Amino acid sequence: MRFFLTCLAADLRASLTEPGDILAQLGFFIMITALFVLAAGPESDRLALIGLAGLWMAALASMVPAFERLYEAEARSGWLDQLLVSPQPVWVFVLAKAAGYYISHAVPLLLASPLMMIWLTLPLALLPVVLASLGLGLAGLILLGALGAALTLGARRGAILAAILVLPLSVPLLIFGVLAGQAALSQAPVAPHLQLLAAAVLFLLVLMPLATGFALRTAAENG
Amino acid sequence: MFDYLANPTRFMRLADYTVWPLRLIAAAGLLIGSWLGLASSPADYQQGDAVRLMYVHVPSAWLALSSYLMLGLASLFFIVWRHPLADIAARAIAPAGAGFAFLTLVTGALWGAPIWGTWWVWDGRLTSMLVLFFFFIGYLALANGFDRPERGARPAAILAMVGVLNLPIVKFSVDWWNTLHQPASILRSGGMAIDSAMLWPLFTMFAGLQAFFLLMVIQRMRLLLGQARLARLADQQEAS
Amino acid sequence: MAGFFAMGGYGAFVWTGWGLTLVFVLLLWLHTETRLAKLQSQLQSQLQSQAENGKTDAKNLPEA
Repeated sequence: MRFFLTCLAADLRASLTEPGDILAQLGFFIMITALFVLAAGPESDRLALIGLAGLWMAALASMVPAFERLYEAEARSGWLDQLLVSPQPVWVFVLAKAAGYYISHAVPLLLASPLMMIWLTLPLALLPVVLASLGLGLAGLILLGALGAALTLGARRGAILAAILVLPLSVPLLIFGVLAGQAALSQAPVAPHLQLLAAAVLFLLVLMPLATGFALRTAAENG
Repeated sequence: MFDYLANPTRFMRLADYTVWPLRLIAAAGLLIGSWLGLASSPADYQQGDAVRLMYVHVPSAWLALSSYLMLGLASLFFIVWRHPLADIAARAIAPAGAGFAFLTLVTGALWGAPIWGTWWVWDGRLTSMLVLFFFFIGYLALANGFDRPERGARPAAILAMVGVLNLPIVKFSVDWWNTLHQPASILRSGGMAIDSAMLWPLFTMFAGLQAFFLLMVIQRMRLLLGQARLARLADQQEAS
Repeated sequence: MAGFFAMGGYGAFVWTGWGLTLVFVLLLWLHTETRLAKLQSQLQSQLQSQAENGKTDAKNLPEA
């Protein structure tokens, strides 16, 4: 637990002292949403129908490209190699990195979502459902990204490769998340979709850190 | 048995025996199956001659799915038991599997367009097949994405295992999505009553394509092992 | 004969689908088998040249 908090603190300190990355990602999210609105035609009723899809796609598009650099600092400084020979469990480190990434990169997106919803002409009454579904979905996505980043450590074209690996795996998250919002839009029960989404995220929470730890070990051994 | 086959030399020797039988079954199956499928078998009562696409689509779908499971299994053997030939097997399976996944998608669309009036439908099976194709592409990209080829073996194996776990979840999520979106209910899976005259071309094409697939996997494994051996010999020669 | 190619009006679909499948099979088969055959002949000649070099090395050893 202590180790988890130490890693988390270090990660947050690193990302928050240089907020350039976070702001760039947030800017990308906002820009993609704006372009989506323009592409769909801002005056049309169509926009309200596909607004949820646009929101989710913008979130995915802004999160996925940055995964490659998740372990960059630790790998370059050799800290990762030291961790792997230490008695500390690697999965705890992975979980801490994921949590840190969530706090520094996902939360800004969630904070920006009310404005995005206005642009996409989504009723603000949906905000709780959107925050819940997007919040869970981004958690799952980051867990997948943690694995993707570990698998592509040291690969050529790591960013696009990590994206290619993560996106197909994230289809269930996307589907359950959008369905939750759509259910809210049509006054249908939202709970089943959120429950499925939560179950998927829980599954990833258990599996991904372990698989990622294994992948990191592989990457370090074969450098 | 697996330990016995783990020795590359032994595997190569055993594989030599299977090559000619597989070549014959593949050639015979494909030639006879094509003749049966395209010429000799009757057209369907409802679908007419378009039903002939079933004889290539269904075996392709089977091969795409089964090869993906084989990929996952080989990856498991590689990671857990460090079986030396498992990685070679996985690398041999992936390209052929990806090809059959692609064929499944294309022949399925060509079959669906005239019969059901639509090139594509986002139901559970079609979407899962598309995602399966993406998985294969991702696997190949990762396995070959490193400057040193061996470096990609274990990440790719991990990816394959995660992908195999993920595919049923993807299918479930799409089915779930569809129960709420009422898609065309035309694509009922067992909906076709298959005339016994159609079983022959189907079975023959099945046998031919399956044998072809296994032949390609074995030949490709021999190719990969041979390339490694050639490289080692060349190094030896340089060193001496 | 015309009926065979027309396929009851579905000719384009049926022939494209079957054609792609058979072409894929044929190309993959030829490609793999020829690469393997070429590799095996390369291995043969490599082993041959190393055997010959081995003989010449052995001859040179007493002088070294």
